Amino acid sequence: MSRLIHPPGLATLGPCRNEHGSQIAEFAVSLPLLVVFVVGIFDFSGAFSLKQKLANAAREGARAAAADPANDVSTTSTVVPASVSDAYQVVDNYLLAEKINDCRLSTKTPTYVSGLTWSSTTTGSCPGSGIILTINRGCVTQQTLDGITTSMVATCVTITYAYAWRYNAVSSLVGNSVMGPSNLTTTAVAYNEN
Amino acid sequence: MALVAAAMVAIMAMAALSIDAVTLYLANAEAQRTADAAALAAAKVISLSGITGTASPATQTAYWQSICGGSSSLATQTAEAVAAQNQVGGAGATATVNYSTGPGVRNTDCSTFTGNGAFAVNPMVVVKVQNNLPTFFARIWGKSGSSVSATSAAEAFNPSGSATYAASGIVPVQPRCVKPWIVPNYDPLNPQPVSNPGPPPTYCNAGNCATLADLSSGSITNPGISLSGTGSTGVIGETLTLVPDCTPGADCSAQLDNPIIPNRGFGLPKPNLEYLPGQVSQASSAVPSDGTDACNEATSNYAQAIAGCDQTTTYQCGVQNGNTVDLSENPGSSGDTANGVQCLIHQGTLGLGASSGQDTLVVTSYPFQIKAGDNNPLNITGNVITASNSIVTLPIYDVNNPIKKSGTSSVTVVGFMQVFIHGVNGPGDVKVTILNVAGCGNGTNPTGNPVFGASPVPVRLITPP
Repeated sequence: MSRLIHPPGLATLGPCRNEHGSQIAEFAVSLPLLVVFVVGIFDFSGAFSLKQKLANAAREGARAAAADPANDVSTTSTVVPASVSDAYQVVDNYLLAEKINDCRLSTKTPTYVSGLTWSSTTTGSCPGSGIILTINRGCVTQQTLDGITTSMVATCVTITYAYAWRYNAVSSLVGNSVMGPSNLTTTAVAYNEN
Repeated sequence: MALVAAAMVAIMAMAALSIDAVTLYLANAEAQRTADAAALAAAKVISLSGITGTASPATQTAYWQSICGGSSSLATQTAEAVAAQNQVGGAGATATVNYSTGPGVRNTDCSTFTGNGAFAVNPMVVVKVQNNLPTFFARIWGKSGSSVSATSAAEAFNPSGSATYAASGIVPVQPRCVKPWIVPNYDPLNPQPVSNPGPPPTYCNAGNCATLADLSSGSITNPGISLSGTGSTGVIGETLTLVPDCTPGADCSAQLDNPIIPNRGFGLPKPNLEYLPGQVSQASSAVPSDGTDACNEATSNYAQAIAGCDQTTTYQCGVQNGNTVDLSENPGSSGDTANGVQCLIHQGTLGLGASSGQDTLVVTSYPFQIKAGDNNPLNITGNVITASNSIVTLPIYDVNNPIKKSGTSSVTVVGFMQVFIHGVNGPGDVKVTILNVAGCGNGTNPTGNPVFGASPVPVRLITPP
């Protein structure tokens, strides 16, 4: 195309008489940019889509736990309450059904953190910090409802998942900025039914 | 170079399309989830408030207004609070809350639905969530923001009187984690006690007490909300004492001919309603392990069904002789009831008097408020809370079917009631306040599938009407 915008006579004045090769050279220069762009688009939509699935998984888990009775959770509990392990299974099964690497979450059991919160962290075969699944059966927020300060009791399920950028493989083409796995975090809140 | 420069426009357009479109899709799904959560939370407020136990918004309109009467009402504000908490596109969303009785009907104030009782049976909440999102690449074309919105609807369903409004007759409910205290279909405060010249007043007795749930229509016999536990303006809010249907030390079947003893000599807060122990065949799940003596001692299946969640016994409404009572279990003298309840509600010491660590219910004004006790695992003593372990569901049995005096006997469940437990004493007497009544039997086996839920007035998501 560059040949077309040159006045015909000028080409004969320069040292390069044949410009056919220059297109390939130009393409070679711009190719990395192009690849980075296309891979970037691909990669970011992948991350968005993963986040979406994680949000769905968290929501399914929160709804399952919120519908379970809350009387089995207590601050001195050493065993995993039925409702927490319910939510845990629901989240894990959802991830597996969506063909997301669950970082061997299924082989772990959640451990007691504090309050009414249980959590499980596993790297398994995943990059970075792997997956962190936190289930809080007593997720209390203060709201003023009908003029009365009310503690709304909910179940909060938080999933943190390390997303490994495919972008890394091509980002060195435009510079060597290495992007480590980024943590995608999503939280679902469901109000306890009983 | 120029080729690439020209191609860049197309590539940018693609980037705009993919990134912005994906962001919008993501936000759209988030908005839907937020709307679902908000609608369910509002329906749950309506369910727990007991307002579905009134005849229609035409009666006790002020109570209806406090629950779902526009922007200052409890259900509306709850939905708005939930919407603000579940973010859409990184920001709290705005919710528009409407109530509906059927297709095309929308009103922000449910107390206007005075025409019939359909809204009381089946209140529907429609929540629309809306948010404006910034776009990134699409700004190239000067499009700086797009709005996403989603609509979701949820209903609370009280089966009482559903025969009047549903084409298919009574739709039964099947609540989860029902406690094995099967109570007779008697309302001990209807008719109201007669005050004698001096105390004590005379309460109705088994023969002349009205029913809780009407057996022919399945509706609530005495709909309405009463303050301070009196039952003077309706069954919801009545405070009474559940006593085991056998006196300590005596034959457990001794009182079966007389399923209500208003003047039982325990010095108990009257009125009393006698319960039969339900048969529980398997150990329960969700039994707390909080290390208290009561929880450690709640080992029998019956005690575990109280302390935890009995998931194996199904109490299905309306099925003739569908359930079994087990009179070999003596809820009074075995200590099982006391241990189970203490473990369930975190009650520190036995007694029906003042609270000893468990949650409390304020019944002097409407809506009733639940306040967290010292032993509540949430650790927010004194706060008004939206869920409590002290709220349980009990089956109501048809007193017209004869019950054997010992061993096991079949009973027909004709309804459920949701109660708040104030406390338990050693002999297994339980002081409760009625929060909801669900009548769902008319003497015939139900057709169709029951509605499942955590409460006798279950909530669920529905297609927006």
